[in-house]
Amino acid sequence: MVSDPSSQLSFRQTLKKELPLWQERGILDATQTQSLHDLYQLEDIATKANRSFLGGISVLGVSLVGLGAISFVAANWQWIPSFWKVVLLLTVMWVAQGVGFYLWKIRNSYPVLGHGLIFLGSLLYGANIGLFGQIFHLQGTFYQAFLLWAMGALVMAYALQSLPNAFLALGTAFAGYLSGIGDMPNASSPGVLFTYGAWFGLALFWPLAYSLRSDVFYSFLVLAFGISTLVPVLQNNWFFTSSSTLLFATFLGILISLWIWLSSVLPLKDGKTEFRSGAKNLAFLGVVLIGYFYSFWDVASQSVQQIQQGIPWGLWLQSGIVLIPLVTLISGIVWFFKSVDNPELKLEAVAIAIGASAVLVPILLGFGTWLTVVWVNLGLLTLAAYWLWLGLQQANRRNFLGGMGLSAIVALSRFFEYDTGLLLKSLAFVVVGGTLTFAAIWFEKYLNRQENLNRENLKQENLNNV
Amino acid sequence: MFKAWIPSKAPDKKVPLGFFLAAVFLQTIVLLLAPAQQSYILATGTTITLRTAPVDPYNILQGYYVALGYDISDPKALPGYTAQKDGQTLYVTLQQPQNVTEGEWTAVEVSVAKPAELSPKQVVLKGVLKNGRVLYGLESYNIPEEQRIEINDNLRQRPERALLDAKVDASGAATPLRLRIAGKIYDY
Repeated sequence: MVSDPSSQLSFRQTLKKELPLWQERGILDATQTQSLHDLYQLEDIATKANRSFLGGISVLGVSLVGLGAISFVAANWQWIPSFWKVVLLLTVMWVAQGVGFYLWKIRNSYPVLGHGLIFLGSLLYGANIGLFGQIFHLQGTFYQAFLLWAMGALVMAYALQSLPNAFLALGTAFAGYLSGIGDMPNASSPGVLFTYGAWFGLALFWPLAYSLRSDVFYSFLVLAFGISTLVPVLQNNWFFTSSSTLLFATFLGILISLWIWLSSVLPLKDGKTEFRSGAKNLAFLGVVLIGYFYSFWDVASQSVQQIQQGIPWGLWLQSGIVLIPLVTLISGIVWFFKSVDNPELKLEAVAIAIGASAVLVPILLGFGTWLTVVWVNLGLLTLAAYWLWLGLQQANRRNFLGGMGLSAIVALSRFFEYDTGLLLKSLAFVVVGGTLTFAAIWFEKYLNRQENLNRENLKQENLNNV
Repeated sequence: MFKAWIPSKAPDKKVPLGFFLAAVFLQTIVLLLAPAQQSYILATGTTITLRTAPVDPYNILQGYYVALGYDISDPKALPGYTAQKDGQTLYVTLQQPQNVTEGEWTAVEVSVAKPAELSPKQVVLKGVLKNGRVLYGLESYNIPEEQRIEINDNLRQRPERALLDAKVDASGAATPLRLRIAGKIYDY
């Protein structure tokens, strides 16, 4: 079967870099080079990558500045009558959505900005659920608010085929489902919505993943579905009701993440190491999510309480679900250090180990709450620094964005968590949003400089060879 | 893996205005349900007063609020209560006090079914049993940031003089109106 040319960006980028060399060395002639150029549409690459990266960042930047504006209004507005509050909130949401739709779909002159505004509209819709609840003294729960938010974002994602809205809907639905399960008065009869929640979710989101043609969204959907089907099962299990649930789930989560990472660097054949980036990303995501969860004071203090009651190691190890990954992990690590001598890979091993120890060390050494919180936050920032460094080192946008994003989320979460005033929160949003946008633009310029430098070096080398 | 077996998409030139408007309309309706329900209770409901005992947490999503508990939050304190399972809806019949401005309404009966007959000086309040408490939809009252310390101080110093005024409609649904602590009114 003849397949289509690969549209994978990284492959095309490499090809674009290599082609001049192949032509230089006489492997290809000018016509062949041009044919490859046309087949893989190499002309589009730089601009496309730039656009999608800057697009992503501007969506993030616009959202944060928007959130800053919301907090600012919230800080000042208790003297406005309820009716006018409702009018103001709805108008702001409609304007963001209306202008976004006009720019994106009707004029099509600023599609990225337009799409960003549509996404901002969905964030405002979520904020409005919270604010309406506040104005009218509603007594709803978090999970109800999250599920309503998910519904609105999902409808928008379908209507405009919008990937950011799809992710927002999936994230809020997942958060709503998990907090709802935790909220249920009686775990044995959680009601139809929660018993079949994962399946409802799959039925609602699967057609969206299909129509959006997004591999990434599809992967996250499957992951969310997997976790959602497991949770109700685990909820009635022994460890979910025992006093060390949190510790156990953490321990197992870290173990599985490390195991997934190791499986992504296992040799396939002829001793060659194949890099499977999907599994690797999943492993880092697992470690970061668990670390992020632990970076909150309440979680850390609950964990400290459970440690003080004693960790039932014996009970844990009796279960195959712990023992099998643990044994294979240890043998895998021994193999890794004996047979792998790729320095980049070793550094990556250190990075994921730092992520894992951010959570495991406080548990194993029995740190107090204060020390645990500081330790975990520092661990997360170290990981962020690693990605920033990697992004600069390899001129890789995804790593740079990952590092920036993680440090921004850690910073914003701390602002939200502790009892700071709304004005300060508003300022934090604007500063972080502004910094992100500025860093993204700086990084684009940095990449361009690097590219020019490489080109000149190549020219110089060719001259020397001649 | 996903892309391998689905056809790539033809570029969509049609502007999905109808879909977009439907999505915005649905979001707006969801948002307006809350004010609509509250307006209905405020317009048709009876004002009642309950004695309250507060606690003071901080909620990230909703800003600041006072969490309120009542004498009638404890199911065992309700006349005629028999053990029920979690999630059970309960109807509490409240009796108007002699002194309408200063006194509080008191529970005279609790039942699983809604009482068919009430005297003119009675209302029925609907609650749900959850984790050993009866929740009436009156468990929190949002307060502005600046008032937080003053209200908390007042509540701590005069816990016995904290009252909540609420509106209750014919179905038994309730919404908080104002908080009164030692004669001072907090209405937001």
